[in-house]
Amino acid sequence: MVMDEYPSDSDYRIFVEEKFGRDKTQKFLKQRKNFLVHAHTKSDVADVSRRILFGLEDAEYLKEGLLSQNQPEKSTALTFKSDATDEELSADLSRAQANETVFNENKNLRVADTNHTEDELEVELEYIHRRESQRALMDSNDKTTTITIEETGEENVRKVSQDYRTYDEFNAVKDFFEGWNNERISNDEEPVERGDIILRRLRLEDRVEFFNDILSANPANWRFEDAVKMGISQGEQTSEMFEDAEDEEDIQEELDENLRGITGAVLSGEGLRTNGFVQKCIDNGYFFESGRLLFVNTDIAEQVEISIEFKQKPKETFDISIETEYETTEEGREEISFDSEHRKEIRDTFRDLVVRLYGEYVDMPNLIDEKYEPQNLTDIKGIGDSTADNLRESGFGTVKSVLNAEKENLLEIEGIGEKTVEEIHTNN
Amino acid sequence: MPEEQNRAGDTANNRLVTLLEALGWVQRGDNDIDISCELPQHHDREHPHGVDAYMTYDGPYRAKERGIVIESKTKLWDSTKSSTVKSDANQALKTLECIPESDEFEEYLNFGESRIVDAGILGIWVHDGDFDAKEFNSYVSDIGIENKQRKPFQILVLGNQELNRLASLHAEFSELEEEFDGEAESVDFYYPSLPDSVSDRRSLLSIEYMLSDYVFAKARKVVDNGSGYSRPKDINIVYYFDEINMESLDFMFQALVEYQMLDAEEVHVYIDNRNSEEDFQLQSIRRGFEEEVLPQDSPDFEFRTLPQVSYDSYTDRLRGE
Repeated sequence: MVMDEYPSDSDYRIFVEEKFGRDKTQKFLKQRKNFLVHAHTKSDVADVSRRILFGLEDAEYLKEGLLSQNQPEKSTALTFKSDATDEELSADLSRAQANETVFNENKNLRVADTNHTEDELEVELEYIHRRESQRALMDSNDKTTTITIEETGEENVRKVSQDYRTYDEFNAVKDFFEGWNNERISNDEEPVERGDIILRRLRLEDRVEFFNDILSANPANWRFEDAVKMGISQGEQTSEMFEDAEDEEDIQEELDENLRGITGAVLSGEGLRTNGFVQKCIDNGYFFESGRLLFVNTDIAEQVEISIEFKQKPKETFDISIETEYETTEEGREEISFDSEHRKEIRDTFRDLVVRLYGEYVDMPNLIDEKYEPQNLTDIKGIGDSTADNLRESGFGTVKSVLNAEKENLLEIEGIGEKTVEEIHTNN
Repeated sequence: MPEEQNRAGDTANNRLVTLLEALGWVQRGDNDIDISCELPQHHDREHPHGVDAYMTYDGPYRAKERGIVIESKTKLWDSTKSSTVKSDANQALKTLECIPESDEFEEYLNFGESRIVDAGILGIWVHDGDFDAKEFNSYVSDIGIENKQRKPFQILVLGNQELNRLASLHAEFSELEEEFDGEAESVDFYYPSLPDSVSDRRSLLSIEYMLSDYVFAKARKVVDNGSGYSRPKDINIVYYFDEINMESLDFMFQALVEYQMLDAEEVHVYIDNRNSEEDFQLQSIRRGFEEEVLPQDSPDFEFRTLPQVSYDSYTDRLRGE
């Protein structure tokens, strides 16, 4: 990261007061300068520290901190199946590193480093990230991302963990698996077949049970305390029980009003499905696909708000991120910042939980073989039974034909408006 | 044994006070003054707070003098743990919290002067040679004493690395003071102007400079102008404590631009290479800097290394021991 100018006094003040905040600045001064500062306001802490002349290393640390604040780190995972042994895969990647094998030409995607220990194989990927820029048509920079490959316990299925901030890092891993698989097939080696963790592959009832399991598991002394926010999505079948609701937003509003009851259903041990509203959602084809959940640590005075989000195409995956960190105090709680190692440890705990619980609902090797593609028109997000009927009547009998259809043609069909078209084109 | 501990405590205290005095700070009152604890939130403490030393300085950027509580320790590395560093910091903080309320503080240390007393220095010198800077810094990072209930405070923790650095900085600065001691000659630490204050030159090192990666100074030397007459020559000085690589030096140059530190015939950069893992050659740094960083109309740059002195023996020498 190159900084073109030395930040002025007012730059620094604005940075602290408007971007970085009091707690993060205090933490920065403690960690980087052994300076323990306690100020009452952002402005006070800016005043205390603005007369310190920071070198490049500290300035970059601050800048990185700001970037990471804007783009919180997410943890995700995928699986892949291969009949090759760990040693063969490790040797293959080491060879790719030595030979500078390119797995994606556009990105010049290559293996930068590998590290094989008893339990895991760590692979660092390097690639060129191109993005739109005002200064040049395409601005490009060199980036790296790291994945960790481990056994899952399922035969020949491995778990791949990744921490990332931006989607280019996620996509680099996706491209890497595609390139690696092609490379191995062309060399007559056992393929590496990628399998994503996709909520929509579970039966509707199981999706809710799966979420219930996540909330009830209490991993590593983190006890579920509150559903701060839950996100729903429309599944394959809807009925008319939500006839008063005009769209998903209204239902989301109703869901927000029912969060206390949903939390209660989990905490009482009775389970999500005992909650009337949750059952109503299931009956109508809705399921939870994201949650902002408060967990309290039973060992140390910490609380954390975790975001779990299952995404749909084209970035079909799940993400775990930390929204807010708290210290439990006598008065209740106080917002603090955990260090990055601790945040990672927490994200890892919840990522591993999601992967483990998902494995209880699916037969991973078979699912990877099957490769999920939407089979029915109602698998398409935004399309219910009656709209599917209308589509068929208008000649759109297959999923592919709907996804490839022109907007104008879709708008002519009863039950499809601008919003649905947008949904079809963005989310499928 | 307690006598030995007292002696070690006295030595630690005297060394730190000596160095800070050399850097322009003034000790007020005696060492080891007990201040009764009257704060209800310190109910766990029956004994008075022992103030190792109390120092003040009249610094730049502030209307009033600053009063700083000094807490000094000397330890073996094996006895330096996260918990002990936290406990030492807590001790310094509690003293700092108590003294504004204390009559004894005013009577024996502050003498009724109006000063801003919200800062402390905690000096921890590990004397057995096993000091691990990374580990020590992680101990400081683990300290969690900030709390919304507390009054504002600032405590700077100085371990071996920082104490050695300050000793080296002083060693170099005092050499320059000797070099530029003629009539019309001078050398001072330089505090650049900020939007709310004018620039200042003092033979004082403020707390903020103690933890800065660059410390500025300005010197004036009288030189022969080539025709038998003397003329003043301005030299700007940077004590540089950041990473030794061209990107970081480039960033320092940008700081010099920002703070108008290029208004001299020469700029001398003193590099602290004590903790540098790689060998480096001043000549190649200078060449790289001239080629990659320096615009044509810049003053001449010279790169020098800071003398590597050890805090304990250096401060003992300053004390004449």
